[in-house]
Amino acid sequence: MYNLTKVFKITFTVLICLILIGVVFTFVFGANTFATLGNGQQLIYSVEHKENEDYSSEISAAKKFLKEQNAGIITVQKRFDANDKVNALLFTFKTDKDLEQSVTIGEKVCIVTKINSTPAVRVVVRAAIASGAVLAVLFVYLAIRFSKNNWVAHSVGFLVTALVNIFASYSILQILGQFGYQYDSTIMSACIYSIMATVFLFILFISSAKNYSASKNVSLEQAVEPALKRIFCMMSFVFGLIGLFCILLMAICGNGFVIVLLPVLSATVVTFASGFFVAPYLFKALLKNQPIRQKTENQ
Amino acid sequence: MNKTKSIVLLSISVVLIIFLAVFCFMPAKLAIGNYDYYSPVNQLVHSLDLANGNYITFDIENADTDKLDETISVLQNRMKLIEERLGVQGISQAILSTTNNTLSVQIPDDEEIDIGSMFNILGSQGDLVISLKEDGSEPFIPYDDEGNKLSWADCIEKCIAIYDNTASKNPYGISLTVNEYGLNALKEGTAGVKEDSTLYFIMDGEVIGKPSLKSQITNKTNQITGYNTVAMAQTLAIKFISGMYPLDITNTMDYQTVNPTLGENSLLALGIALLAVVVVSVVVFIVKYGLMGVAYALSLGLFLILLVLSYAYLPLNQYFSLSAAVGVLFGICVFIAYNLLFTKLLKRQYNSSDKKTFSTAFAEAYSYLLKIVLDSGVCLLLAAILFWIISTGIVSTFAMAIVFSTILSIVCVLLFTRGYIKSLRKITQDDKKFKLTAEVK
Repeated sequence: MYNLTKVFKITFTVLICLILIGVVFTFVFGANTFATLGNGQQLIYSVEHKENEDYSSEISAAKKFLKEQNAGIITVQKRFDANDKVNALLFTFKTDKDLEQSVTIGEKVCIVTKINSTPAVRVVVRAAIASGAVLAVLFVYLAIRFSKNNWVAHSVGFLVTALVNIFASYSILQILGQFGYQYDSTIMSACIYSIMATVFLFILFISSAKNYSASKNVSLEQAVEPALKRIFCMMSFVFGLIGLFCILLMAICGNGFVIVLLPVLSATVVTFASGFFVAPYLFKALLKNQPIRQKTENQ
Repeated sequence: MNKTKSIVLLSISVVLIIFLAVFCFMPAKLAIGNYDYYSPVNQLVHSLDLANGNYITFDIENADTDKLDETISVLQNRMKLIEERLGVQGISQAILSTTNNTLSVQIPDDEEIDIGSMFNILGSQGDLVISLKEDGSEPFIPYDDEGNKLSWADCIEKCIAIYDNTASKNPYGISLTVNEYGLNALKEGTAGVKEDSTLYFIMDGEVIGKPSLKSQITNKTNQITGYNTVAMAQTLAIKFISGMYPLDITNTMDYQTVNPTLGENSLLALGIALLAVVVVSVVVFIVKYGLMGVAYALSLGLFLILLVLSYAYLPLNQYFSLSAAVGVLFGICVFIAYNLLFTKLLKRQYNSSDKKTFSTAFAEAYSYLLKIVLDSGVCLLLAAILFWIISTGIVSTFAMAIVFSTILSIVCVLLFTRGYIKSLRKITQDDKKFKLTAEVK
């Protein structure tokens, strides 16, 4: 299908470079968090109710003002009074420097509130702890599950792939931060998604290789490439569907969806690339180092 | 099972799927007798990103950052308790924003709790006084070992709503457990009680409980009863346990509604995107695998119906957000992958050089599939359950969605896809209709 060593070298180098750039960007520019995660602000722009509910001129005036203040992503909500009449527009944003509590846009005086990010930070911290715990548990589980059948290739192979995926996906988002992208606490959903997709793809690949090895009576090492060929089209379709979902929503609905779905899309691309071009080579390389006794058992 | 029986069973199954799909996905609301009927899809609770929320504002005194942070911490504690005790979903995802003298909270709109109760819980100062005097004079004051004055919130270890089945009216109440310092204060305060007295629990200047007392209090756990609804007792328990705001807070009763953070039509857009994924997968399956694709489509129908039913009726405090939708999408993709694997394995076994019959090939393919599904399913569920337990908020709902959808994926592919392929094979033996002649080596 393809030269495993060659594509591994290229993909792994690209992913490691991405990770390094991401680390550098994080230290130089800081985390590009959205308002709800990074103590952003909310601008309350009072409006008179309109029957057609068309507030595009007010929205563009406020957005123009906020862009001038270096705001990144801006989300807009309508606020209604007790009679369901629109009485204000809420703009959620984060700027480099906090705006004053009262700002004037055109002739309109608007209130600016400060968002408290403690709940979102708590979500991120707990999810980070959970990610660590899950990676450890899966490492141990795979080591035990394949203890008689080269546990190193299975558990270390999975762990390295998962870590590369998580950090490379995050790095892509940090790089996209230079183009205005900001993420909120849902980034941790993408991290979890990355771990889940990695473990799923990894197990599927191993099972397929074992199936091939048993049916064709060849060693597991020899079964790696044919097994990849067997699942490549299938998983391309599955990952393609996830990509389709993300791209559709981001293209149609814009800002709010971009915050949540860009990390998922980034994780999808990275997981797919590493699942086919990094993990199999790692698995094969680790298999080569297994003790002769186990090699014989496999065969 | 003969051909006629297969046709009958399949027809019943198709009708059932159509009926259940209409029952689950039609956003119907019907008035039946005293109760409104809501279809399962209408019972999904949406978080702030997909549904309207309430925008509540309180006035606060001007204060330094530390006290504001402490006030927000108490507010968050109360919101967490509302979520846990009153079953209001997604409230811990509220957006909090402040100015120097206002505190605004954006919380999901939930039928489980009215806005008045929300103001009552979130907007009350929470200043608890326990005294033998109705006006709250001569309050019992708890002290720690060093003689520092403590608040009652520091001394309450546990406070839960209870039901007193011996009471003829107003049977609800709270059970209050205090720590050593609280008990010392209660013992000291009630030391002189020898005959029928009344102990007054006063919160924010209002008497909220007045149990009668015949002797000195010596137990850590005490009860106050006399409330006519469980919500009333729960509200009180939340106020007891969540403590007092360090800043003066004024209940403005000012609330407004806001549309979803992702925009007005976010739910519709999400539905369309999910539908696009489902339709594309069904079309590809049917074009590529013929009747096996039909089996997949029927199994997918049941999978989606079961998923909606589990979200609507399982009492797991779940709510639906964009993150949860991504979790569901992941589950759908796992289901698609398992089905693709099944069909590919079946094709491979059937087309292998040793001329197997369909049933032998089917049994072998299923056996391989079972191993793969169990191996990957165990890993996925292990990870997702851990994420669900350890993480909080939207991440937890994402993990929960993966747990639901992975379990249903496994069940549906092992039972329904298998069953439908078998039934369809009974109806026709034509390999072309199953696209089995296309070679996969």
